[in-house]
Amino acid sequence: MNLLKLFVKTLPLLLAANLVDASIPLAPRMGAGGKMDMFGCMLSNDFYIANLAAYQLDPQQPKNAKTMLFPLCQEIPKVGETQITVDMLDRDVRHKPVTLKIFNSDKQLLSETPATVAKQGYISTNVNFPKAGHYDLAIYVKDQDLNVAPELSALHIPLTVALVVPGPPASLGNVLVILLGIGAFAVALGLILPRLMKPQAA
Amino acid sequence: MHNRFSIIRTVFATLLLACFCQNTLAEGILMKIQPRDNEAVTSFDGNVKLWFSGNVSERTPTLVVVDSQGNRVDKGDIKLVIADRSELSATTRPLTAGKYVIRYRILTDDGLIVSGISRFSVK
Repeated sequence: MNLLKLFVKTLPLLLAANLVDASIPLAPRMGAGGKMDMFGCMLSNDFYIANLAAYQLDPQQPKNAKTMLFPLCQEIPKVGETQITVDMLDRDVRHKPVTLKIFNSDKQLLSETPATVAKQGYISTNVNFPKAGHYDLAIYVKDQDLNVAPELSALHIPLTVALVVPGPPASLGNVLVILLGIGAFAVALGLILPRLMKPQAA
Repeated sequence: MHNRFSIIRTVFATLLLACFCQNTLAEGILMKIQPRDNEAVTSFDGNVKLWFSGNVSERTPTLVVVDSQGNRVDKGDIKLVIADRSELSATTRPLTAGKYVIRYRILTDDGLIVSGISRFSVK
């Protein structure tokens, strides 16, 4: 019985220890092509890899709303103010100056960040997409190790704005099933644990 | 008697912990690179090879070799063989004497990115 108690006591700790080593990302979210993806919106070329998140605030939503903004990938549903955030995933790139530029389909520059060394990897810029269409997010890295011209090694991410009708992805149901399963397990554990932990009469 | 139970409990807990934490050993790690970092090679056969431990994914591997001017000298024929020790390889054009830089990247099934830079020179 002592061993059983020990097992029940240590199980949550062990499960937690097992989760500690989980690396990015922590939860499935919208990926390239509008599909739910455990890797998030991870995009790469031969040189660099980055995770993209675009955020659009709904103008109908009150400013003090506590709802979390849902990170979008390459398909941005509406025109207007959008925050573009990239996470440079190569560790060495976090010591190198990175510039973000956003161009429209006529190659006109809409937004540009100053060259930034992002020690945490994150670089953000705000852009106002004026009309529906195709845009290009270009990530330039001044790479002192490679000496490759930033124009040649730039990671180009195509963005579409207000061109797709957003709808629930097919795999969203699977995520809900998993969440429900975890919830049911937690409830069951809550009911069983107190009974097992109860001291028994000698 | 009490001590005996204490030992059994410790062994039991340790075994459980070892079983649950085995994933920590499964992360991708660069085990070996050829040519080695900062190696000066006298006769280069045109093969660049990297070996990784862990659960390497087929997703977006890359291997680029550039010369000191920033020109790509690899043939873009990257090959990834997934095994206990996964092998990432590519070949280069014939290299003249000089310094070269390798940029590599693999992803693990857990979403961990193993990327970096290695240098070598040809004499």
